[in-house]
Amino acid sequence: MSSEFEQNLEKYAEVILKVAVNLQKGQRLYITPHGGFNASLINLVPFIELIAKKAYQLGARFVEVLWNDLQLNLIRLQHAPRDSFEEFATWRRDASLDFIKKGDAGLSILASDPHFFDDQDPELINTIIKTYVKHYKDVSFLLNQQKARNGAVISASCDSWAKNVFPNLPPDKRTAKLWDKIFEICRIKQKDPILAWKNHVKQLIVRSNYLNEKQYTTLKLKAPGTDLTIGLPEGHIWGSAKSTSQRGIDYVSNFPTEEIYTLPHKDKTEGTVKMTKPLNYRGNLVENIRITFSKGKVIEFEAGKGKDLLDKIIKTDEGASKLGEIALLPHSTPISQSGILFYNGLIDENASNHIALGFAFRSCLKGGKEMSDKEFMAAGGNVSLIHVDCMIGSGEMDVDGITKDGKTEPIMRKGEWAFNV
Amino acid sequence: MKSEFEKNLEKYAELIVKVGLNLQPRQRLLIGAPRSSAYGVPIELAPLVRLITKNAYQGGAKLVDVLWEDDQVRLIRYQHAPRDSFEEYPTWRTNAKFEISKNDDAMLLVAARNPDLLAGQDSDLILTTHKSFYKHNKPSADLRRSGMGNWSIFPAPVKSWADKIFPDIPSTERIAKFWDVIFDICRVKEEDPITAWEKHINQLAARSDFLNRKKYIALNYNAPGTDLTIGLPKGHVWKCANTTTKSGITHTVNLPTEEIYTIPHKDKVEGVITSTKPLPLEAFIDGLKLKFSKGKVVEASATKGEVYLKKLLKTDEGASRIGEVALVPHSSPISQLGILFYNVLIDENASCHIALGNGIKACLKNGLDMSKEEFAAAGGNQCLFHIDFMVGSEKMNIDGIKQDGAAEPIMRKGEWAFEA
Repeated sequence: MSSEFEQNLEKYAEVILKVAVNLQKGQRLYITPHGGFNASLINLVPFIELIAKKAYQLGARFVEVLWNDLQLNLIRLQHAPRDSFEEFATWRRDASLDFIKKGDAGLSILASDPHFFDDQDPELINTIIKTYVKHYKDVSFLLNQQKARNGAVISASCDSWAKNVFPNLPPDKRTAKLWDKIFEICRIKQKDPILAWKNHVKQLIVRSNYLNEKQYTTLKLKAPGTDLTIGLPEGHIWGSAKSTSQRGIDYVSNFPTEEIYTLPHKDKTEGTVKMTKPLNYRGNLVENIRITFSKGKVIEFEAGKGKDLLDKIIKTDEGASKLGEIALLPHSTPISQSGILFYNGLIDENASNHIALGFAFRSCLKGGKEMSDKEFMAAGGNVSLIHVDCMIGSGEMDVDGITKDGKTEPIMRKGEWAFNV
Repeated sequence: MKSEFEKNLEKYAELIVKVGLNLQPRQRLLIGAPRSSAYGVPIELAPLVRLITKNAYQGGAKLVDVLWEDDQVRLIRYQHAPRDSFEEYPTWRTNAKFEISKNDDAMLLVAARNPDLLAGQDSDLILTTHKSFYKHNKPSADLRRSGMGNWSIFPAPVKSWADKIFPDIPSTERIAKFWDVIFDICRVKEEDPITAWEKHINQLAARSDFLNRKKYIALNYNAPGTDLTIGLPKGHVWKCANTTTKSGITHTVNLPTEEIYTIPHKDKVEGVITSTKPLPLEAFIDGLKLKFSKGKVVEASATKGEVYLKKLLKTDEGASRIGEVALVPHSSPISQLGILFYNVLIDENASCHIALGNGIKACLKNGLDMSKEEFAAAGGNQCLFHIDFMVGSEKMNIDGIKQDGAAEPIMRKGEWAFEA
C-alpha cells in the first residue's frame, strides 16, 4: 500500500502528462529545467523517474532528460575566469530546437531557490542570463509564438526551494509541505483531478470568450497605489488555459493556470502601477516596485531591494520597457487564497492580476502568428528578448473595460469577476 | 576539518584534471561524454563532478558542462518503451562530444555503472542501442582518433556497482571500500599523486621504448586454450599511458593504466585465443573462444552470451578483426587485488588483452595523418567499435618474432621476461 504522498505524486504525474502536456502515443518527451536556471533536475530524481515511467506507459517513444546541476553554475561564478561568462555551450539549446522542430512533447520544471545566487557578482549573473536569452531566442519564439509543440511548465518541490516558502517549519517537514501545497493548487487532491481540470479549463474558456466578444478598447485598473490605463490593440484575443500546437494537439502550457490574458497595445499604457508581490527574475528578487508609464513606455520607476536589477531588465532592449501582457484572474483562486508567496513565477502569477514587461504573445493577436516582427509591432504588439511578469492584483483592485463607443463596464470588483457568464 | 575521504576525493579530482586531461587554460571541458553503455555521468557522482569542475575552472577552463545520466531512467526505457523505438538516440549528447573534439577541447568519460543494470533485458534491444550510439558517435570518434582534443576516462564507484563487487562486506561499507580501492590503484593516497604518476609513466615508457627498438614483426601467444600469432604492421608504435594531441597536449587517456599497447596487422592473425575473464559488456560474454585466419574470426564460441557475440561480430567488416594488443604483467597491482570489476577500464589493467574492432591510429607511424585507405593499406583495422577482452593469466607466454624469424621472450608465466 503506497502512502498518500505517493498516491498524490502518481496522480500529479498523470495529470501533467495527460492534461498539461497531453502526451500522444509515439511522441518523444524531453524534460528540461525551466529557463535553464530555475531547477536542478538532479535534485528531482525520483519524481523525474516517475514521469519517465508514466510517459513510456502512455506510449512515449523516447524520454530524454536534460539533467542539470545549479551547483555547477555557482562553482562557475566563484572560480571561472572573469572574462569567460559569454561562453555558451550550444548543444543543449540545439537539443531543445531539435525536439521542438520535430514536434516532440516537452516538459520544463521549476524548482528554484530564489536566494541561490544571492552572494554572487550581479554583473556576471547578468552576463550569463543575457547570453542564455540571446541563444534561446529561436527556442522561445517557436514555443511562445509558434506553439510548435505540445508541452508544459510545471513545478516540483525540493529542499532548496521549500526552505524559502516555509522558513518557519522544521527543515525535514518543508519539502513535503510544499509538495502538499502543489497538490492542492493543482487540484490533485480532488476526487477526479483529470475531470476537475477539464471543468476548470472549460470555465476559463467561457470567460475569455466573453471578453473576446466585448473587444474593449481600453482597460482601467484601480487599486491603492495603482491608476493605470491600458489600451488594447484591434483584433486582440484573450487566451486562457488551453493552447493548440501547430500539429493540432491541445495542451495546458502553464500548470497550474488560473489566468485569462491578452496583449496590450505597446504604445498605449498610461499611469502608475504598484506591484503587490516581489518580482522574481531567474531567481533574483526585486521588491516594492512602482512603475509609471507614458505612451506605453516606462518613464519612471521606484523599487526597494534589487532596483539595479530592475534597471537592467528594463534596459535589456527597446521592448523591455513596454508591456507585452495583461492577465486577469480572481483574487479567490486557490493559489491566492493560500496566501503563500511561492517565489515561483509560474505559481505566483496565478495568484494575482499581472502585467508583463517584454514580448507579447502572437497568439493574442488576430493573424499574429503569420506577421513579421515589423507588422506585429505596427499592430501594437511588443517585441523583446524578455517577458517578465509583474504581480499587481489584490482584493482591492477594480478593473473596467471601455467599449468602442466609450461606455465603461465592470470586469472586476475588489479582485473578483464582475460579469456573469 | 576535512575527512581523509574528502582529501582523497580532492586529490583524485586534481589528478583527473592535471594528469588525466592535462587541461589547458581557455579550454572547454565536457564531463560525462557519452559511451556505448552510458549517456553520461551518474547523478550519484555529483560530489566528485563538482570538485572536478572547480579544479578545471581554477586552472582557467572557460566553460565546463556536464552530461548526466540516471540509471533508472535507462532501465525504465528497457522495461516500458515500445520495442521498435530503440534506435532513438539523444543525438545532442554525441553532438556535444563532436563540438568538443572539433574545437580541440577536453572531455572526460566516466566508468561508473551497475554491471547488472540490464541483466534480463532483451540483448537485441541492447545491441540496437549500442549500434545506434556507434553510428551517432562516429564523427566525434573519428576526430578523437585523429588526435583532436585531450581526453581521459576514470572509474568511480556507484552504490549498485559496489554491491556487485563487494557482496561479502556490510552494505553500508561497500561504497567506501570501493573508493578506497580506486584511490589505491590510481595512486591517490601517495603524498604527491602527480609526481607518483610521472614516475609510473616513466617506467611504462621504458618498456614501450624497448619494444619499439625491437621492431618485432609478430607476437606469439601461448597459454591453455591459446595458440595465436599476431602480425604487427610496419611502423607500429608501442605506446603506454600518454597520448599527445595534434596540437601537442600530452594526456593520460586511462586512469588507472598499467598497459603497453600497439596495433596489430588486421590481416595477419592466425590461430586460437581464449578469454580469461568475462567481457563486461551490457550483455555479458564469458568463455570467449575465437579462431582467426588471415586476421579474420572464422569460428567464434562463448560459454555465455554467444548469440550476442555472433551478432556483434557481424556489426561491420572490421568487427571480426582485431585493432589492439596490450601487455600487462600478471603481477600488476590491479591483478593482485584479485577482484573482477566487470569494467573494462579497470579489468583491462589486470591482464593482457586484445581488442576486436577499431585500430588505434596513434599506434602507427604517421597514422594520425593517414586517410582511411592509407590506414587500411598499412594494416590498420576500421570498425564502429573497439571492444577489449582479457586473455592474460599467470600461464601466458609471449614471444616477439624478429625480422629473421628468431623468437625472443617478452613474457613468461604472465611476467615481463626482459629488462628495460
